[in-house]
Amino acid sequence: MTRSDRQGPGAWIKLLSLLAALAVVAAACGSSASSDDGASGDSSDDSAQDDGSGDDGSGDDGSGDDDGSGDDDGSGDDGSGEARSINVAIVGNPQMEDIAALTPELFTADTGIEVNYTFLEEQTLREIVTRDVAAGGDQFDVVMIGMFEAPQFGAEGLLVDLNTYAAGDADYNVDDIFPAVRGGLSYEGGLYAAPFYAESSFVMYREDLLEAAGQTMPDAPTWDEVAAIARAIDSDETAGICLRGKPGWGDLGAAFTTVLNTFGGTWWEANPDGSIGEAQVDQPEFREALEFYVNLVNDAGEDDAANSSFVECLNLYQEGKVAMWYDATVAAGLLEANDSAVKGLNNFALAPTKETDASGWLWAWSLAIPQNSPDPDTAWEYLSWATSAEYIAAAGEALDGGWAAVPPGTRASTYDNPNYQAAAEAFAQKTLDAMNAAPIDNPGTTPRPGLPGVQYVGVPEFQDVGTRCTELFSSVIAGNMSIDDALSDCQDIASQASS
Amino acid sequence: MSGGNTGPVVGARGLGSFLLGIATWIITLLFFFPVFWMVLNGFKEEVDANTDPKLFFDPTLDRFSEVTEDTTGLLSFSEAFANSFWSVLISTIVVMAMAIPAAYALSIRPVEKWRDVLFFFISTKFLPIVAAILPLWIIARDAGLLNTRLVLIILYTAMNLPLAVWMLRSFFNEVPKELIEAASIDGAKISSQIRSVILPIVAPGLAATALLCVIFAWNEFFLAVQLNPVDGTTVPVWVQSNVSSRGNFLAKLSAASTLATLPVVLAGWVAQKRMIRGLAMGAIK
Repeated sequence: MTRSDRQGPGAWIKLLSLLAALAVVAAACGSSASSDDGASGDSSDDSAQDDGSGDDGSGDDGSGDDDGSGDDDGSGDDGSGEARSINVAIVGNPQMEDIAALTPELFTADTGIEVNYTFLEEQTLREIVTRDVAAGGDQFDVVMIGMFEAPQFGAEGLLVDLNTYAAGDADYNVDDIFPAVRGGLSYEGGLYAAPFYAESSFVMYREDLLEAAGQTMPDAPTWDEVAAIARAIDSDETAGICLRGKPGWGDLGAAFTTVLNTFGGTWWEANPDGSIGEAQVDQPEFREALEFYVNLVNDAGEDDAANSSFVECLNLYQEGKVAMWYDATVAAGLLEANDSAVKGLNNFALAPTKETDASGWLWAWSLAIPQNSPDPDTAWEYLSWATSAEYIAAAGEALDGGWAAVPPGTRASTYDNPNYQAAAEAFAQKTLDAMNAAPIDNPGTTPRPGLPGVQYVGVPEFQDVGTRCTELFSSVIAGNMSIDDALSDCQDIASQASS
Repeated sequence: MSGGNTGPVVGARGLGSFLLGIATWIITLLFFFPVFWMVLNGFKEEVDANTDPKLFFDPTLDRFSEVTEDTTGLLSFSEAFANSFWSVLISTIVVMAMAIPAAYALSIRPVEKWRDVLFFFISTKFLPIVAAILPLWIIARDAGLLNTRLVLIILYTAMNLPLAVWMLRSFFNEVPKELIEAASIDGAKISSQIRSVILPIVAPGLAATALLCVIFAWNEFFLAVQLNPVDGTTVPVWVQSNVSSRGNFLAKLSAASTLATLPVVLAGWVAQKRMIRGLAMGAIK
């Protein structure tokens, strides 16, 4: 007791001095970050956060505390000279990081609109954006959503129809956007999101390794041909093919569903009204597709396939540990980047098929305006810049990575641009072919329930069913479960969604 | 430990504690290794971090400068740090200010039904926070608190209060009743009893409790990302913003995590002596 009394002051002084030091650092950081926000002053009285926009305390942006008072609803009219700002939720991808870096110079400088980006990991973004859009949180003025969400949210009336803006904006040239992508983001004629970045899937392969093994890849291969090549070139050092095996409807679920489609299978049959019919997981086509996928991965796939998805395969491919890779077209840009170990060694082929003519997936990360947005005009001003041909052209000049690093897959004009053609010579045409071939409206041999979709079924239930079933399929790949058990469990899961 | 007294052979006891020592080391290393690997990865190039594990490489500070780079419109490390700092500091001060009187009323001079009160406090921690997030979000929306620092301060205070009350109560229990009686005979009022008699004795406990509150609030991710992912948000959300779904990010993420961990490690290091004494106090007496 007396000891603690004796030691008391010393340690307390240490602790206090540490706190004081941290306070100084924090205050300095706060002020250096936004020049005058005075972090120490206004936050110690726990008032609402200042907007970090570098503006003075009075000019609150529309970020959070405007719901009740609506004091800045007039920010649409810039005549007053009041700084306008918007909050944008965006997924963490290289192309998205680029636009964030270029925004102050290319957008804010011209328009005076400050853009606050919130970068989130894919799953978190989905959760937060879905709730914000559906329940009117006004947390964001512009949100990034995928092709899965856009038409569903549009059908629910949660998003602003961009056609109303695009029609009056000749510069925006909405017809320049690839029809398949536009179709995937539309519902009954309304365009509910504008694509920022889009991708299909195709086969990437090491031409040198295939040649050394005496194999040739057709431009439009079948899965049987790809499997034969993979098994022929598979060795201890180099796996034949990298395929996704990580659970998740957007991971294994995406790659596997394209295989399922072209094998003639489907998750559910469609009722005449388009709703979810009987689950089809117990059908022979489904089993054939799953057996094919699992056997191919186990015979000629990468090690630890049950934990591999895009990033893992990208690394294995760049290290030369796999000879082929079936995944997103955007990977081609990374394989052919200047710092890539395999630059110049690659070639590309369309997504492999079996029963259908084409099987590549279609995905677009796209920007949308929530229906309850307090200032949709300002949001459109930003959105129409971020998804414009003008931005792509400016980014091509401004980015360190040059033209090869611009957001691909959205506009025909990108692929017509000689600068892009030169920079992306190795993969531009193949990507374009893949985008054009993606069978968005008719991915398989039978009608699908819900809204259009290739590597997913356009119904909200698919997220849950796809994720739970791919957990089972991933266990099969890892050798911890039999195909019979996985299929029967998955059939039960899928049946719960049937109506 | 008590087995040592009954052990007939000194050698066996030595071997036992030797094996125990080895086991402790193994467990410690198992715990420490991921942290060590994270720090190490922060100094690597992306390529090195993502390929076969390498212990030796050319260390670089590039990842650290990448993650701390300021971009207008993007949450920077310094902003997130300042936001975290204020949320954590204010919430911890409020927690302590409320928990000390509460602990007094539950320990030194227990109020009626103090057991029920104590149980009520801890029962607020029974519900997983994920089950409460939707109501919380709706309340925050209706109160205009979404995207504010205030909502985090309120929730961090609420989140840590039960724990602080429980911890402080057990420390207060250790204060000899005679001392307090003596003080009150000498005419000390409650406030000066707390200030001059009780607080000096429970100082290690206060430090330990405050440090735990700081750590829990500093590391809190779920509430921050759900209720305030925009500006004004905290370091854990900033760490996650370094994850990319189309490219390598392990080295960058490791650098960011290392930076995020440092303040807590520093605070823990300074308070370590106090804290271990504080935690051990209840066990010894």
